[in-house]
Amino acid sequence: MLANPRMQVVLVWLALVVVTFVSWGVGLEHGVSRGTGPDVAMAVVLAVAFVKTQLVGTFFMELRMAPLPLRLAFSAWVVGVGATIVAMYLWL
Amino acid sequence: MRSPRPLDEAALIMCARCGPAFVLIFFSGLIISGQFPVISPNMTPEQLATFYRTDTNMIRTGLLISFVSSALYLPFTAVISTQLRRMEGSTPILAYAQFAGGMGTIVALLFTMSLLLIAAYRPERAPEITQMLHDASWITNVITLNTYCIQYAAIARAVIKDNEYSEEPIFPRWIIYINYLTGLSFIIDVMLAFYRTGPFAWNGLLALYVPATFFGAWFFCMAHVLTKAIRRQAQLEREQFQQVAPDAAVLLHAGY
Amino acid sequence: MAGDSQRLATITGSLAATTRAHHVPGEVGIWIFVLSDMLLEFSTIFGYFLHDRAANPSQFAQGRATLSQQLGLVNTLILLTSSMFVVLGIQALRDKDRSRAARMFVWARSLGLAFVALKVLEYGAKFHVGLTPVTNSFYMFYFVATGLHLFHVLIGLIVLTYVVNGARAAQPRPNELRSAEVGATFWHMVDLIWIVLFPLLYLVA
Repeated sequence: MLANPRMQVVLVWLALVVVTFVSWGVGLEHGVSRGTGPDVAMAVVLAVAFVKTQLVGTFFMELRMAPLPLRLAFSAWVVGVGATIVAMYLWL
Repeated sequence: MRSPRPLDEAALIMCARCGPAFVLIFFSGLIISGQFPVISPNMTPEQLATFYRTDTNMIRTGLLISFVSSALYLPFTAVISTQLRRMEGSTPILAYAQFAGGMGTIVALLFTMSLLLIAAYRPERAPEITQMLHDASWITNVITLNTYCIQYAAIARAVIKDNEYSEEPIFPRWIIYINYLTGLSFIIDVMLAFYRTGPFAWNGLLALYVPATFFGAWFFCMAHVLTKAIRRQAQLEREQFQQVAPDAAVLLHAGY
Repeated sequence: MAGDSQRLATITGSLAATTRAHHVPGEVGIWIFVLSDMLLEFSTIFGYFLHDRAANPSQFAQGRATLSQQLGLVNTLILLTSSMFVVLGIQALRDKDRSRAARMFVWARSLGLAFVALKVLEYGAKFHVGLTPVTNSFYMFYFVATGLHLFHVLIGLIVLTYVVNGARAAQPRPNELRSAEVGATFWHMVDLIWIVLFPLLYLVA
C-alpha cells in the first residue's frame, strides 16, 4: 500500500497536517503567556515550518526525481533562510 | 531592378546593445550624482537642501549622464518589437503593445531625470520646493511599474506562443520567466505611496533595490536572447538568398 | 483478471514515473522564478519583519494578539490540502486519466478560492476596526506580506484554471504535462510561503 504513489501523497499530507496542528497548539500556549522575550518553543515552531517546506519540496514538488543542482538549490533556501530566521528570532 | 536590401544586422545588434549600455550608464550617472544609494524620503527638507547645495556640479554632471543615457531605452524597445513581430502572425499586437509600453516608460525616465536636474539647478531655493521636486522625481521613477509590466507581459505572451507553434523558436522559453519575475518584483512598489521609511518606501529594500536588481538583469538577459535571435535571423536570410535566383528573392522579400 | 493487470500496470506506471531520475518538474525557467521569488521577495520580508520586531517587541506582540490563530490555522490547512490535490492531479495526468486530473485540479482551485474568501473577510474585519497597512510597523508587514501572498494566490487561481481547462479539453494540448507541472510548481510555492508566514505572523510575533 505504501508503494502506491497516491497513498504516499496522502500520508505526507497527513504528516504536514498533524505537524501544523501541533505547531498551532504550541503557538497558542506559548505566544500568549510568555510575553515578548525569545522562546525556545517558538523557535522550534519556526524551524519546523521550514522542515515542512522541505517536505513540500521533496514530496509535493517532486524534487526527489529532480537533478541534484535543483535539489541542492532548494534545500539551500530551506536551510539558509530557515537558519537565518530562527537565529534572528532568538538573538535579535 | 535593384536587388533586395539585406537585413541591417549591425543596426539591430547595436540597438540590442543599447539595453545593457543604458543600465550601466544610467546607474553610473545616479551614483556619481550621489542619488544612488537612494536618499531617504524621511529626510527633512533642510537636510535635502543641504545635499543639493553640496558638490552641486557633481550632482548636475551625474544627472546629465543619467538623463542623456535614458534615451538608449528607445532603440532597445524598438529592437525587441522587431523580434516579437517575427513571432506573430498577420496582426502583431504584442509587438505594438511592447513598443507602446516602452514609450510610456521613456516618458517617466526623461521626466524624472529632468526634475532632479531642475532641483539641482537652483539649490538655494526654499527647501520645501527642492523636496517637492525631489519627491516628484523619485516617486514617479519608482512607481512607473505599469508601463514596464505591459512590455514584460507582451514579451512573455509572444515567446509562449512562438514556442508552441514554431519549429525554431526565436527566443528560448526561459526568458518568459525572467519577464514574469521582473514584472512581479515591481508589484510591491504600489505601496511606496504610503510609506516614508522601511522596506516599502521608495528607497526601501523591497520597493527599490530588489526590483532594481531584476530590472537591470532583465536588460542583460534580453540583450543576450536578442543578439542570438538577430544573428540567426541574418543567417537564415543569407541562406534564403543563396538558395534562390536574385529575381525570385525579391518575391521572397515582399512576403517576409 | 484483465482489470487486475490493468490496475497493476497503472500503479507500476506511476511508480516508474515517481522514481524516474533527473526530470526537472515543469522546466528550469519556473524554478528560476520560484527560487528567486522565494529568496529575493519573501525571504527579505521575513528577515525585515524579525528585524523590526526586535525594535518594537510589545507593538508586534499586541498586533499578533489581534490576529486570529484559528483563521491562520484553517488557511494553512486549506493550502496544504489544495497542494495535495494538485499532486494527485499531476499523477492522474501521468496515468492518462484526464477526467480524474480535472477533478483534482478543480478541488485544488476551489480550496484556493476559499482561501481568498477567508482573507477578504479577515482584511475586512481589520479595516472595520481601523487597522490598516499604515497603522504601525506590525500591520505594515502583516498586510503587505499577506497581500503579496494573496496576489500570488490570485495568479495561482488563474494558472489552475488554465490547467483545469486543459485537462477537460477533448484533445490534450501539446506539452500538457509540462504546463501542468509548471502550474503545480507555482501553486506549491504559494503553499510553501504561507507555511512560513503562518507561524511568523500569527504564532510567533
